[in-house]
Amino acid sequence: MLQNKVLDLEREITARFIANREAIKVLILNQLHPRSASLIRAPRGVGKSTLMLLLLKGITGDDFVVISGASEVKRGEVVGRLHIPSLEKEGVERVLWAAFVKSRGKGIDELNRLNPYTTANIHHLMQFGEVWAYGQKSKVDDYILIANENPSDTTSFIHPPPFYDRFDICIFLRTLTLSEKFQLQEILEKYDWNLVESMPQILSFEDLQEIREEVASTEIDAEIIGYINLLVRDFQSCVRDKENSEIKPPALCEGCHFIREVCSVVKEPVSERATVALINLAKAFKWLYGKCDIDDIFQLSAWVFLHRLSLIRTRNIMVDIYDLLERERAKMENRRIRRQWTLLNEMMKGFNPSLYRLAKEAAVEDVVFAEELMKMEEKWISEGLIKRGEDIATQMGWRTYHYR
Amino acid sequence: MKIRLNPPKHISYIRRHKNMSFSEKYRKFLEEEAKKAPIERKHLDDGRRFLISWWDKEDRVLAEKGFQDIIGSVYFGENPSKTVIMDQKVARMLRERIHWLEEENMSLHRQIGRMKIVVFGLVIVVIALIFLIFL
Repeated sequence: MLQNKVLDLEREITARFIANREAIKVLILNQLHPRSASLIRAPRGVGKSTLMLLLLKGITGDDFVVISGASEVKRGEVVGRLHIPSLEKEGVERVLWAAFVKSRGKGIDELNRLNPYTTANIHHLMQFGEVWAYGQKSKVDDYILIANENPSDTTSFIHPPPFYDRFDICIFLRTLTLSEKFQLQEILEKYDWNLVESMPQILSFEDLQEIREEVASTEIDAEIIGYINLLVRDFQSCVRDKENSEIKPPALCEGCHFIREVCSVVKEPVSERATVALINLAKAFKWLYGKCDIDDIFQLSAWVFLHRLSLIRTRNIMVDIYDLLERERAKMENRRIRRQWTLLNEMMKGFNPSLYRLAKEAAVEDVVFAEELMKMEEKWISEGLIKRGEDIATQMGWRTYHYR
Repeated sequence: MKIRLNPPKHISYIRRHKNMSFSEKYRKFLEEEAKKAPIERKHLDDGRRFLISWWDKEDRVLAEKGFQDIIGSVYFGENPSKTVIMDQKVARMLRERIHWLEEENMSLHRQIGRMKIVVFGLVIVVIALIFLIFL
């Protein structure tokens, strides 16, 4: 069974890589959808490159190429170079596509040191699944891409947030505890100080593609999709439209009704790619373990939000995200206790003044709910069921903007 | 003449969606959430009006360990559960109580200040008496 092979892969990696079990688990889950891209962040010497190589070897055998930002990587080595003999003899521009483009497994070591030109090419590859060189295009087949970087490494280049957004997940690795250090030394001796060389290929790429097809066709419950959308929306919504505002929180939140909500802590909201990444992970989780519930979604979402969010004050991004997710849990429970979704469900069937009054009370405490209610209010105003001025948007001074 | 107030021209509200379309999965999500947390409609005599009520009897939070009620955790020293619900009346009562305690605190603080001065004066008097008696 393919599930067993994936679990074998996890076992083989955890046999060679100490601690960080949760991170390894989510890293493997993220490989189960087409054109997967994963980012590993850790301080120096924690094993970023080892983990990347173990995974590449376990899935692609020897069909992988690793480029390093630490060395001088040129465009020709990453994308393609001109075939000089063809140009000289025939006057034809032929491009020799780089091994990095053709290989199934793609690894990028020290991503933060990669120059902007190479980064732009990789960005295009991840975005459109193709590469360009000398006016010629090459379609890139399905792949796995794993990159690593040290966030505290001072580099010459700062990559743009949209580039990082193309990575489905970002995992953080930690240093080893005292007992784990003993374990590592035992493992190194067991594998003759060569963890990567000893790693067998567990899956063929054909197996992986079959798995990816099965995962894509896995159905997840409407409830789970609902909670994923809700969670992402909570990390995006703002009644003062922070996405398009020149002033960002906390200055933007001055005097705002929702000053104590999660939205006021988030400076740059997550993109819609977070939803796609979470749905892919949820499908993979259900395919592999047979179920995926709301607790699993909360657990997975931390790895999806880590590199996509920017908070107004960051002490420790992992701790901060977990704190916010804990607040989200309480908020979701509160919504259920207030019967918010029940009220919305009833009002979708038809307008009722009593239900509307209750919904307005709930909307004052919840931006996401308020957005949905405001949409319905516009319909009711146009139908003459309520008057402008009675709606919560006018009363609270909230607006939903769009172009005519 | 009827004057109609319109929003500024560069801003327009989402308007006139006579047939608002919602995704089927969104509807299903709302229906499932509604099933998990139902509301009860009790129709009044005329049949048109109704009362809305709900019970938290089957709520998952009730099954959690600890007190869900704020009073239980404040007055009986019980451990609160993950979600604590506070009634509007209780919130008002707590606010008044905190206000009263703060006032009490302030008045005690003032009394302590006065007492310090008195104690300080008495210490000086005692020292002066000792000085007069023995020297």
